[in-house]
Amino acid sequence: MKKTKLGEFEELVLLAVMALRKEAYGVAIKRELEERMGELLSVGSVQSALKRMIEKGFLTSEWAEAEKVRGGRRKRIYQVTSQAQEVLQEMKDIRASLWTTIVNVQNA
Amino acid sequence: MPESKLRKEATEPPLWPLRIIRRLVRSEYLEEIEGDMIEEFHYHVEKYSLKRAKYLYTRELIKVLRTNLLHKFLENQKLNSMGTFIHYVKIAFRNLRKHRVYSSIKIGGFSIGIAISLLICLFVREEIKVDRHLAEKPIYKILYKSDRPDRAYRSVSVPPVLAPSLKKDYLDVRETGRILVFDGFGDAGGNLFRPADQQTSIYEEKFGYADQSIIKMLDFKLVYGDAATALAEPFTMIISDSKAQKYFPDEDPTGKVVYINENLEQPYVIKGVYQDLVNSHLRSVDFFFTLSGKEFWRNEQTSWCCYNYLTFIELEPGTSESAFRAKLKSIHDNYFVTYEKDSDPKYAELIEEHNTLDMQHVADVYLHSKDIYTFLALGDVRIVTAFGAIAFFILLLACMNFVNLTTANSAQRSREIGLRKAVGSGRSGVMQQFLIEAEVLSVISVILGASMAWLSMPFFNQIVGKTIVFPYGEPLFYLLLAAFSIIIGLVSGIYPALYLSGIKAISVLGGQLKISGSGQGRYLRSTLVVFQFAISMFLIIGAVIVYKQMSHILNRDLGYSKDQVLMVHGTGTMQEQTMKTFREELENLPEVVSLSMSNSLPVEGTHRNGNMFWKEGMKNIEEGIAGQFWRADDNYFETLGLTIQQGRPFSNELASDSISVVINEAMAEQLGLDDPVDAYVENWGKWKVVGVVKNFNFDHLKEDIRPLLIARTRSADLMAVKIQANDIQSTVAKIDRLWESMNPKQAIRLSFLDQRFEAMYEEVTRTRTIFLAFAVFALIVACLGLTGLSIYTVAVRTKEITIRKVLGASVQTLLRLLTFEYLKLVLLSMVFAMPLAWFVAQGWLEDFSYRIPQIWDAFLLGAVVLILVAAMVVSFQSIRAALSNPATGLRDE
Repeated sequence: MKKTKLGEFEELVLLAVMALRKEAYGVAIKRELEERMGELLSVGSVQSALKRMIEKGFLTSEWAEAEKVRGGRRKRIYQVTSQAQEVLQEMKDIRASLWTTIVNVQNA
Repeated sequence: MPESKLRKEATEPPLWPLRIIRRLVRSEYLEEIEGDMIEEFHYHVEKYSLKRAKYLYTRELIKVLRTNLLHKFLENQKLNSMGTFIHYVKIAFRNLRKHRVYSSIKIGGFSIGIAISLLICLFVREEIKVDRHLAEKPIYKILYKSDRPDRAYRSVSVPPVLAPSLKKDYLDVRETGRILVFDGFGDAGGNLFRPADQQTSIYEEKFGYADQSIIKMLDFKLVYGDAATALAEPFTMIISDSKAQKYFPDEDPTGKVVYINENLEQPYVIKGVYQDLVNSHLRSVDFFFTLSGKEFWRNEQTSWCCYNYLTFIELEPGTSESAFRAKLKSIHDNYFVTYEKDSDPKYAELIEEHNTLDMQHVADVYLHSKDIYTFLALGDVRIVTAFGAIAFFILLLACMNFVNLTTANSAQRSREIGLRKAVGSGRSGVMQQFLIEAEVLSVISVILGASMAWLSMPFFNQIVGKTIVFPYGEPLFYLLLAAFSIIIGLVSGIYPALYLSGIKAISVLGGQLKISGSGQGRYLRSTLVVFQFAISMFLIIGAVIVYKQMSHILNRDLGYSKDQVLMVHGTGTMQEQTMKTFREELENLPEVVSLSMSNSLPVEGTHRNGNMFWKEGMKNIEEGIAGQFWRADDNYFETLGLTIQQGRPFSNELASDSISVVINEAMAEQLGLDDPVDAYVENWGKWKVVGVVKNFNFDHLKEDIRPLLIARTRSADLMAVKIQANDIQSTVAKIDRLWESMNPKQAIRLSFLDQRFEAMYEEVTRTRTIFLAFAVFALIVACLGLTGLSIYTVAVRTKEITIRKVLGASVQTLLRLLTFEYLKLVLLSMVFAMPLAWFVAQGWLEDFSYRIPQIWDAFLLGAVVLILVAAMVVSFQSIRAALSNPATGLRDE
């Protein structure tokens, strides 16, 4: 957590990649997030976040097959690294413990 | 099938966004991003519509602009040229540092020039801006014009009834409006002002009258009140925002009752507050009374007799200006000639032949009213043009200097170029280098110059008496500066770039090419030096002449004594008995030499009028002469130190002196009175001349002295008090106390005649200072240029000088050798500048009726100053070279 900061959108992208497993490529991630967030995203913003996270070492990627609907271009499938999983878990824990405190205070 | 083909094509994404994206996005990401975009496009076509899909697809063009997706411009193949660019900039700065003195002269001179011309341009812009917002509207000021051969004139004053008549009788006139700003007419000019709920009256300088329609026509912006009705009712007024802030801070003053000159019987109601008229020729007016229901005397509003009103008309849209202009003569005859036919048929004939109406667009009023007296402080297009020309010339001077020094200096660098070429630089590389260097210098200079202008803005404002704001917030301003610096960089860099890039490596490195200041370059430089000094010379001569003319005006013999004369204003507000006591008490003070009551004193802002005068019995036979009709008491002549040349002053004691008057020499002369004393003079009455006063200046000193008649009076609104020279402070305090004991409600209003006088000539003094400053700066810029050039020459000729010295040349010989070259150029520049300066000066001086008798001394002075300064600058460098130890010069290689 200390070493690398994770933005809100970046965290969501990472989680989407994890949720999509083998199907985690650009458009799929974008649509997953659009559906859950209820807003329209752009290819540019999603791609930018993905590339940023590769630089930070949270994601790895490899080419997959080309498709006709993509104008014959290949997909790139993303996968989270163990470092990313750690960071995500850590964030979740911090949030959970904070929420517990909040609930306790409210109940008291 | 064509239809299905169409559909198929239609569902394909457009190609052009991808083409652009390919140029921007890193190639390794392209395939994936393109794929995503195409996939999403098809998906969106299904989900929404083709239009929306296309929109979202194209929108990616912007969305894709993220630094981590784009090419790294500094790291790919473009890196090389960027690197060279940085290298050139670096070299430019190293060169700057290496030739510190030279560079600072170059940049210093250029930035001073930029700063000055920038300031002047801002001033000019401020002046041109006035009333420009009305330029598109068909609004004109009506002028009354006469082309009588002996006294052609144009005047802004027309009868009050003209405006309503025009609106009623002429369909092309959509709206008319009148303004009255004639000082002393009704309450126009200065008045005491007091809101009903406040205690003391305060004197305010500038009141005027206006019609309701003026608010809309001249586009007054109301802060408070209703623009459609603010002046619609009698005894209402509108005031400027700054005055509203002064009297009613942070509140809405509409509906407030105010008293003018302590007149409690007729209060006024404030109905509106208008934004200060900063961009209007009416900007000096802070208070407008309404003209609605106003009549200054019986039937005044419906009479064609008297010419006192400024009249504005707005034409119907679509009416052509020239068509209406063509009608003006018939309009004039229709109204004016018809009126005069009843009262004075002879005069009617005269005006039918010579007089007409004229009109001037409202946007031209501020700068183009030189020959028309308007009772307002206006600008002058001649000053603006002169300033503009000076700005241009100083800038030109600075630019030439800059170009000159750049080219001179670059010749020293041929060896560097040779080496560059030897290790593989092409011609274009060398050109680039010199252009970039010139750009760097010009950008630095422009930034420096703009900062200097910015810093000296308050000082400059003080000199020109304006409140110009530096245009920080205007993008166009920065754009212009940027464009300017790039252009100057190009101009100054292009010559050395072309010339030096042609140098062959072998010839330089082999030592064949001479790097002296000879050849083409020298001619260019010489031409520029001549041109520069011609401009400097021109500016110096011009400034000296302006300075002399202005001093000449200021030192003119006034014919009266303005020192230690106190003016006590507003004495008319006192009761008659109080006034008498006040006067007696004052006269009893030992410090008071004498005092006099008169509304007219020989400074601006006191009462003036226009009258026609005739010799006895010549009225209705001859044309009269125009003159002033003043009233004063018998102490007037003593108090102002006027000289009675013939006869005697009238006396307030003699009952028989009720029609006795004193006239000035100008009137006696113009009326052709050979023996004025005991002659009779007529205007609307008949007056007996008992004395002739020596001409004294009561108008602006630029003008000739006009005819004047002074008749007797006892009381007036203005008192002139001549006091002893010692301890003026305590005298003023005594008068102040005396006033307060008699007139506690109203604060005393005092001014000194000599201060009023100075204020009147502030403009003249200001012009004098400005032109002097210009001349000094022009000289500085030119000298910096010359210094730079002589440093360069000496540097180039060091070896020659040392060898001459070794061979026995004396210091004098060397000095002559080094200095004469430049002095010759300076002399040559005079040959060009002097005739031009003489020509322009003659034209300028023609406008002054009272002007300096000769101007050759200005030329002499200019020449001497220029030669001396140039000689000093050049010989300073030369002496250093001539005195230097030959060993240092020879050791160089």
